[in-house]
Amino acid sequence: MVYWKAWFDVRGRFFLSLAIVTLLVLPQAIVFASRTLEANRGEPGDATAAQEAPADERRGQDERGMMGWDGFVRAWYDESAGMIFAIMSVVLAVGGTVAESNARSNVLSLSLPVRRSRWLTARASMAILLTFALAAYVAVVLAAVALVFGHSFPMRIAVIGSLLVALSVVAWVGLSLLSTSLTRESVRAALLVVGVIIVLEFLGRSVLEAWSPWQVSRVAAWEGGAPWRSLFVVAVLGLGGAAMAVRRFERADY
Amino acid sequence: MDEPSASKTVVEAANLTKYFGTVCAVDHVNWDVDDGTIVGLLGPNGAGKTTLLKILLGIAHPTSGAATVLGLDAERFSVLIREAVGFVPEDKLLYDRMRVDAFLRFYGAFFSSWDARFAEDLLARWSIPSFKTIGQLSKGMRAKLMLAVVLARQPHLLLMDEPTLDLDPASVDEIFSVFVQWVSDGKRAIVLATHRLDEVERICDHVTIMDRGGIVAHGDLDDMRANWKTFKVVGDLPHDEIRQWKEIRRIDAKGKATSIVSDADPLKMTRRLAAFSPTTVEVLDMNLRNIYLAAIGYKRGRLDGVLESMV
Repeated sequence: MVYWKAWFDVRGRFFLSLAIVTLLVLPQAIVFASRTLEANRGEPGDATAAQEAPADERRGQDERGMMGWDGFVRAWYDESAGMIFAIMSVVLAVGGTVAESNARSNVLSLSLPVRRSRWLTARASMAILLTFALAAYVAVVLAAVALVFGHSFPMRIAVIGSLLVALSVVAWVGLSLLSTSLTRESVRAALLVVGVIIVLEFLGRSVLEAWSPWQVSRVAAWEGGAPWRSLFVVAVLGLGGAAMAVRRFERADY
Repeated sequence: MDEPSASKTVVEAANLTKYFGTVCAVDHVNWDVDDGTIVGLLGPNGAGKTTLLKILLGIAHPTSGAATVLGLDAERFSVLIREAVGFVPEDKLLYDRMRVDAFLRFYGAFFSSWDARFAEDLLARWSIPSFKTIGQLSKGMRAKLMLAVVLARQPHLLLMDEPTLDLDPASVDEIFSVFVQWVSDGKRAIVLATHRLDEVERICDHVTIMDRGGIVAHGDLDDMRANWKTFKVVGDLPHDEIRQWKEIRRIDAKGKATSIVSDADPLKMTRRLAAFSPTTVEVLDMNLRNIYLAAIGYKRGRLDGVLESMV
């Protein structure tokens, strides 16, 4: 029932995220699919679209130098998914019983025979699970578009990409719990974590690329072996943040 | 889950103290509640009643001292205690977006002793629609919903913070009859934190009065009514000396007229006062309201002075 409550609290945000992610992915997928279709028919405009692909996306290009679905899916999960799902995981993770103190309904929750750490565990698990569901939903949308246009779809990459997204957001979920325990309020908690994400994104792109937590969500980063330094950063941010949040929550008075 | 140990004393607080920053909310409280009793917990706003109840449930943590509930340490076994103790919070702010029927399923799932039929019967009797969200209910209905789910748990002990705040008199009567019946087997107890002295006089057999974090009076209500007396004395009295007597609860002097409140044996007190050769000593009974006001040191006319200064 603690997990059901976590779902109940977050379902509105989840459906909103679902709508947003659809708006982000579906038009891109349809445009890509139609261009690929035109290129396969030998129409001149499509080659341009394929040539515009960044260098590291050419891994999925065919013998004509054109990006296929393999490259498109890989590019989506490697380039866009990290930041989009980081933000969405924060939206899904902030709040919960800790932030209920504003509505003062938290006294009811805390009077139930449940350890405080379980409320946080449920919230964190639900945020990670739902972020995975969003990432997997993207795979389903892309696969459906490919199917409609009669193309084969690289399901393996999409599944791996979704799993890696779920793994990488452990960092943001842990930080979101900590941030909520500091602010006891959802909006400020989310803004605080988004600020941290922006700083880490900047550092990851400039001086600390090998340590960037986004490496964990990139399929390409795993092809030469596990990105241990990034995994370490994700574990420290996620587990450390969650542990501190639990400690603060268990000691708090309401 | 282990059953809480059978105990005559269901709540025991020893030197319990709670600070919020520099503010002392609960000040060295020693307190006990026995099975089969309904205890009225009285006190002005900010007296520490709610904090005391929250400490017993592990919702707030004591700064020092200890409390046991049903024989279990309140800090270490708070989950077990919350399984066995029903709590009605002061703010009946439940989950506004949750439907009543979903709330019943959610709440009941946490308790092995949950009686779903009992809860549904109470809701039907109180005309609480199960298809509405809690946010759509009136304050009174929310209070009834909270009471229904807490009673349906069949807890050993009920801690209630202003449970009747938003209820109409007929509902209060009905709920009180449930409470009285509920403790009649002598195996359950209720602590009722309230400002309503009339409610305490109606159903409580014990009273605890708190002020500024401390317990200023505690005991059997009938004993309190029998022992607490006002002594109206006319004559020259050594007020400073009398103030030192430990049985003196309050002393107000105006010229030669002195009003003394004491919970000592009235006969002994009269004899002690007679030793000062007063003109008259009159012993007056006290009702709970006067006991309460004397215990918290309320000075009549204090507000009048403020109001006068505003005119």
